[in-house]
Amino acid sequence: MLPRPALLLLAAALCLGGAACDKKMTQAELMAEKKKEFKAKQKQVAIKAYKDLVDKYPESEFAPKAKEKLQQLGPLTATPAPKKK
Amino acid sequence: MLSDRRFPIAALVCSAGALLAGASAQAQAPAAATRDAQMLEKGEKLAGEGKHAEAAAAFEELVKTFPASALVPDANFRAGYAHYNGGNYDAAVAAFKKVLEDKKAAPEIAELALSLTPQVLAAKAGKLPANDPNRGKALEEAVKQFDLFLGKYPASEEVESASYSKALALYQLAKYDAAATVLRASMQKFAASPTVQDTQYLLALTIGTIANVAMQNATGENKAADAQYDEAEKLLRDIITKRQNLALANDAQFQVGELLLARGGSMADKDKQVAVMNRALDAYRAVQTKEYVIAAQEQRVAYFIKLRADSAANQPLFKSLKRVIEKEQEKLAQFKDRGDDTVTAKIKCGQIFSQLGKNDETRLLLSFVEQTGLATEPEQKKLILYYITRSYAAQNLAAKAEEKYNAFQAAYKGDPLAQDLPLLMGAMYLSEDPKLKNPDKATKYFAEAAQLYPNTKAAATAVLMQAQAMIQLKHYEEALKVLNDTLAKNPAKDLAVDAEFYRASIFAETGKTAEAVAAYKKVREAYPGTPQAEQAHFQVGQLLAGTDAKAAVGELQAFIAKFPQSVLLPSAIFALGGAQNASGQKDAALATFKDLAAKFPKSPPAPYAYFERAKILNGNQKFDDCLAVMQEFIKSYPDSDKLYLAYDFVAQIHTSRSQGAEAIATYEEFVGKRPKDPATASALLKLSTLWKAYTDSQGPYLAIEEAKRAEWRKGVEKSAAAAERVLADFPDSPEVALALQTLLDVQRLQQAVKLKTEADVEKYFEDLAAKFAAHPGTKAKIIFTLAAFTFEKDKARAVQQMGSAYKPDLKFAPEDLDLYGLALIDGKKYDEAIAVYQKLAKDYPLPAAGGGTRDVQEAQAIALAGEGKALQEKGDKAGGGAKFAELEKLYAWSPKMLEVNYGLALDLHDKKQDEDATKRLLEVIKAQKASAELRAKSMLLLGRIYEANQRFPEAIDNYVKISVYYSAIRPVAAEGLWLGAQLLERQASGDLPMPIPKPPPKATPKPNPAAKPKAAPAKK
Repeated sequence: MLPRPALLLLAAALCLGGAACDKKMTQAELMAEKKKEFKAKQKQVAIKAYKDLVDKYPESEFAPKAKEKLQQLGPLTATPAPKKK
Repeated sequence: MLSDRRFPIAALVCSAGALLAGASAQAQAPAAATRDAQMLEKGEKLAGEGKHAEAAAAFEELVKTFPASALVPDANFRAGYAHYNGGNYDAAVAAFKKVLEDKKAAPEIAELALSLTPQVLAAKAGKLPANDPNRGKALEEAVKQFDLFLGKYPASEEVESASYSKALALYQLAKYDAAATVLRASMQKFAASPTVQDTQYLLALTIGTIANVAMQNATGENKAADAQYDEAEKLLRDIITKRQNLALANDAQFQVGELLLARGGSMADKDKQVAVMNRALDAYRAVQTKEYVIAAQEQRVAYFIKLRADSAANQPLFKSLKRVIEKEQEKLAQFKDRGDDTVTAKIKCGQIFSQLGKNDETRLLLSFVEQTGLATEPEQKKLILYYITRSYAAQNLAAKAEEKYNAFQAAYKGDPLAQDLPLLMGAMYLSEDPKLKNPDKATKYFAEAAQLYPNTKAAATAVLMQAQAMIQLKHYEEALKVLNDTLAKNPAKDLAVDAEFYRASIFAETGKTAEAVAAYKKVREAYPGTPQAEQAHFQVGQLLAGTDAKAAVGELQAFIAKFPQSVLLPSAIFALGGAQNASGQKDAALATFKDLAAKFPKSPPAPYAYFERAKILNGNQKFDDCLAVMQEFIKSYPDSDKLYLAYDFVAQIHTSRSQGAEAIATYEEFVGKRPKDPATASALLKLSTLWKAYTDSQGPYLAIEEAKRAEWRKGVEKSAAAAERVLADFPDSPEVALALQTLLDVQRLQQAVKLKTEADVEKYFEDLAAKFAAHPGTKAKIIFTLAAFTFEKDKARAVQQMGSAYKPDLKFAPEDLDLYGLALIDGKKYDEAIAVYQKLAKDYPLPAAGGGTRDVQEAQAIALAGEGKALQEKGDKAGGGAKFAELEKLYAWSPKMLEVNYGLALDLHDKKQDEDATKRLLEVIKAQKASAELRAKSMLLLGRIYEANQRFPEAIDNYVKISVYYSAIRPVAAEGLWLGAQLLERQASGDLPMPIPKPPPKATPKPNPAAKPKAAPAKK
């Protein structure tokens, strides 16, 4: 656990740097945002699953269908690589 | 054993008749046709016509009408004789008494009347039943009358005959010693008589009977009885050897058999008994036919007739020979009336075979007698049926035994001869043979014994055997009730002690040790001196060893001190060693076990004593001492069936001390000594494993220097050679499957380090299979091993290989057939797979009586699981579910239950019983023993269930993670990805709602990483 003064400074820094402090969102907007994020995330995970299926199990009866799905869903969004420390 | 060779009374009366004829002729001389003479003549005529009662009446009418007639004594005598012939013995005696009281009676007639009186009394006794008190009275009176005659006429020609008859009467009164005394005196007095051998014969039988009586009451050997048997046999053999009287010699021959049969029957020493019984068989076999006896007797009669003719000048001899001839002719008539002694002798031989346990011989001989019609007398037929029934029952040939038993009971129900038959029948059904064991039937026969023979020893024995049958049925309470009821009736001591002992045994068997100990103590205290008391004492010690080792030590030491000659002594010493060990007295235990082996090296527990010592020393980590004990065993018991256990023990100690070379040398020594011993298969397998471990110990082949590589290769070669020898020398042993597994491992090892290619491995197994062309079973197993290798890369080819080796008429290991069946299912050949599993169930049948070995039950479990799986995959989910339910009910312990759980979950899901289905699937996924494929499929099914229940996050989690944990299970992993991705896509499109955050659900348990995925089902 951090010592108390340090914890207070961290809270202030987050508040100063975050958008939420600029404009307060309604509960409904917040939920819609979350759903949007969820859908986008699930799409990416679905694309990864179809891609795994095609790459790892090309002989599978499901592989051709998975290829079609990949064409429909588009490519995987590139995930930024973590910065090297 | 006694046959009546009494001097014929008719011969005596014939002589009297001649005498009387002369007397009456003289009396009739002055007045030829007097009335009294006419009446006498009339009586004679009637007697000649066999009208004995009318004849007697005519003679008595004469006496009544002419009391003063000179013919009165004659008439009274003839009336007495007519009464005798008519079976009216009391009237005969009364008539002879009148003669004796008549002062006018001629001395010759008086002598005859006195001579005949005891003979008539003896004849009267002979007609009475053995238990009639009048019989004894008649015999007593006969003896008295014989004494009277012998006292009054010591010089009479009838003295020898009267002495013989008196001895016979004494014999019948069971006064054997008195009879023998009379006969010995007579033999001495009439040593030169032509009929002295009759006396000798009766003396032999009397002495033999004395010995029999003595042995009936004896508890062990009886030297006096042995001497009497010897004397009796000597007297009989003397008659046989002298051949003076061939008919009598033949009777003596038969009686030697009887004597030896009785003597052998009372012998405790089995070897001596067999020797005596074999002599009895020889005696019976030498008995001559009826034709021979008659011819011999006719020659004897002819001899005396000629002798008499040649002795005309010697009137006394001439006269006495007439009597002899008459007697011998009477005997000839008797022989003609008698049956053939060879038939009786054959039946006796059958009896001896039966007593010696030679049941086939019994049946062969007696069936011959029966089928050739030789047995004509009802008694003979009864004996034959009895012994044939006995032989079937003794050999556990139930159907034939029942057929003959029923025939016997139909003809001779309750006959005392067959008291033991229902017991034998019942005992047959108490057999350990599961095909025969039927305690219910046994109980029925024991109840029949008690009903047919109440208040007999057989009935008492039946009660005990009935209790035994109930014990077998595990109806312990009923058995106890039977025994308690018996004991409540205050039975004879010999029955009571058995009943008490059985009670104790029931307690012991039902685990009621305290009650058992108390009951055994009661036996030993209430019935001291009995064999049961001795055994009970031992049992107390033995039982306590399991609960109170210290107390057991005391009890067993007391037993050893009290019964130093007991046959249970070695077992007691062994139990003492065990109790000492259990109570922490290790050194004492070691000394006791050592003592046992030294004192009773040939006793059954002696070899085990070595292993007990070795275990104690091993536990104390005294490995060198332990090895020394096992080496001592190997040296002392080179032919023991436990020899391998000793070698194995030694080798395991070496192995535990990392002395692999010594362990290898140990097994090799055993294999060298016992190349054909069934245990050698196990030794070879151990060698194969040890050589493989030697290979592994050299390090990774590719990373070691050349010298070690050479050793590595040597290990591989030796391991393969030992395993191949298992196949070659023990192709039907259970070690073959493991040897093949080792061979497969060794081949894979070589393939992994590039010493062999995949094709080399395949060729190796193909070549190996070719070597066993003459052994289709072994060849098929090798090809199945090859298929297991191929399965990893090419399932279709593996199925093809197994299909080529599979022969419906060959019996395969259940694991092999399971591999084949699963491969067929994998190839969607469901009907073929079902046929394979049905064959497996047929090849490993469960016994009709239930139970079955673990292997058989496991085979049945595999068959049910396989058939269920095939049915389900085929689309018959209900049929498959039924098979799985049966498996779960019968073999819940089986590893196959994991497959069943999956199968049942499929069925339950179909029936919308998803909660139960989920529970079963989670069990499979958690189980380390489950194959990777089974767990992957379970995760897929679990995903489907979650999806159906709209638990989409859990469904997606299961679907997608299959490819993470079980990527090698390609079709399942691919399907999981496909299904998971579709659900994810639907979530992305908004078709499925975003899950509302809630406390995390119980996640699917993460598969245990220790359970590595397998590409193919494991081949055992």
